[in-house]
Amino acid sequence: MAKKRFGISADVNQGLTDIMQMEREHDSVYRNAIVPLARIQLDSENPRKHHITIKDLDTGLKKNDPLFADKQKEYDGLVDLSNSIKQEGLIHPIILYKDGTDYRLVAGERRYLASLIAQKKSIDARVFQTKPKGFHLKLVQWMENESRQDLPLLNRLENVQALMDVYQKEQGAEKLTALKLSEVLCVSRQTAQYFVSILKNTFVMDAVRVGKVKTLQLARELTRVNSEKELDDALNGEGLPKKQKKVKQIAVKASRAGRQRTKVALGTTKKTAVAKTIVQSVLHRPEYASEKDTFSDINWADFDSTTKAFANLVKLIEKKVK
Amino acid sequence: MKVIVPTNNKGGVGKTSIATIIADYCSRILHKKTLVIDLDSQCNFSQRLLRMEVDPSFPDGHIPPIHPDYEDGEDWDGRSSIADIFLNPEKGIVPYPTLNEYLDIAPAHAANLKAVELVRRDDVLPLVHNRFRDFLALPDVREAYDVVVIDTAPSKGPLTISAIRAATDVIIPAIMEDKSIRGVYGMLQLWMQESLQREEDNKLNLVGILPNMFDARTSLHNDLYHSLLENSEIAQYVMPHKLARRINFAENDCDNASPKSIFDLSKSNQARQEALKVCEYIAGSVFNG
Repeated sequence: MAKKRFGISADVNQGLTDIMQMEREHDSVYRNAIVPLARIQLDSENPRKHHITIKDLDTGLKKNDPLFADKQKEYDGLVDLSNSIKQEGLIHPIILYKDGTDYRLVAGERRYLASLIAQKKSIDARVFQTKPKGFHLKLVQWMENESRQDLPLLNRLENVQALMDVYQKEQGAEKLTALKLSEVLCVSRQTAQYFVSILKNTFVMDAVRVGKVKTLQLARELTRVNSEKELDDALNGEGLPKKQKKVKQIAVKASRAGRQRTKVALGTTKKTAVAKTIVQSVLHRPEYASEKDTFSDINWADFDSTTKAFANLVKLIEKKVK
Repeated sequence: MKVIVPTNNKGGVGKTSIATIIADYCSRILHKKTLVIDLDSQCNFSQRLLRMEVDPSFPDGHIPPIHPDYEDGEDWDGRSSIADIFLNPEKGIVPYPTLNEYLDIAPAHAANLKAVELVRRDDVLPLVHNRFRDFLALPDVREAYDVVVIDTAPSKGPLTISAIRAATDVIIPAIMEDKSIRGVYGMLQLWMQESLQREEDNKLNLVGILPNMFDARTSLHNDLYHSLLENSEIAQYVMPHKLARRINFAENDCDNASPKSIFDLSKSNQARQEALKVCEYIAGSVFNG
């Protein structure tokens, strides 16, 4: 009788392998936790701000509050999210770091506020093992905020500015170029360049702040403006300043493109009669009359003969001119 | 303080026997002040160390006896079980002494532990999962004991999760048979989920998979054991020492066993020798990292 053979079933074996690999590869920068809401504090340094406060949630919105309209709008949005959380739970954990016995919010303010409205006692979170610092903290906030489709343009730009400022502070002399910025933000180089251009243009940034410009595309197009008037004209449909200056600059650049010329190219022609005309014209000049015999036996119907004759004429003239 | 939890959600793999052996080793051999906690409503561990009584209101279950330190007139009923930290936290726990001066027990209470397992989903985190961990973190407990050994039920319910939440070290006993190895997989999932929630300075140590009731005469046990060793990811966690299927271990589980401990058997006894090797390995992992 054949000897019995046994083995662990393939699905269990694979499951064992997967678990051990997952545990080994686990990035220990974060840990997963369920954190009591009462122990979470907002991070005042996060550019993503709501007008509505926790006190507003406790006491209700006041109609005589100058920000009532904004807060009401925010509250309505939060109620929608809180209903979703009640029904489906929280899909994306918020991000915290431990601060003493409490926690500070790195990202996820909306989910936090919505969970309070949903009267939850605790919330799923990813907690930094150590307090994230400077650039890393800003980068996490950027990545978290970018996932929000409703993030206003101003907040987006302020996030980028905050990142650039912290980077400059930490790296000192090294500038955050558009290329480096694109790597950091995981956006295209073009998008990174747009951010840099927009942030440099104070007129456009002012317009974004007051809500005149709300999309990245429009802001990018407006980076050509050099004054408030040009901005207003553009927004009023009178067109953007023409690109003339830029075209001229490109043309000037193009003419100087390539190496400096050291010789004159005399062109080419498919008509040997052109070369014959030039040669004969030169030989009619008094100072070249003595050379006529040198060019008497040229076969002007033959390209090689004509080319050689023309080259000899150039050499002759080079000798005579100073 | 170390909190050691032998656990497998497959029943009959020898969790209680192994918890007994580890508790005996820590208390009798290492002279560490040891607390055993019985979280299994079957009360097997409790029955081994105490004269548990039949619950008149729950005939299939047992309750702890009157505490030897209870005096008439005190403001409690004289019975204390680990279930009280979940159901009556204000009552506190009064561990029972045993014949071993280094060993105390917080016994089970069949009906009350079953009630804890039925807690509502929204309440399970604060009332069960974290409550047990918080209890073991109390200064009184940490000062009184060097080691806590927890016997768990064969399940992945709230009580088992609470034990793993409180644990510093986990051992997964397994019989080299299909269902038991599937139980290993289930426990590794719990271990990994818990690991993802731990802070850097409070990691959950996986001591290893302990082959138990191993029958070297069978192809099944040998082949499955070697299958585990052939999996490079899991091989490092298969303990190098096995516990064979020996009558001495079953005898040691009896309430009125004599001698009381496997370590009281003669030094030439193979069961004792195996238990010693296993415990030395476990102690090395637990106490020496």
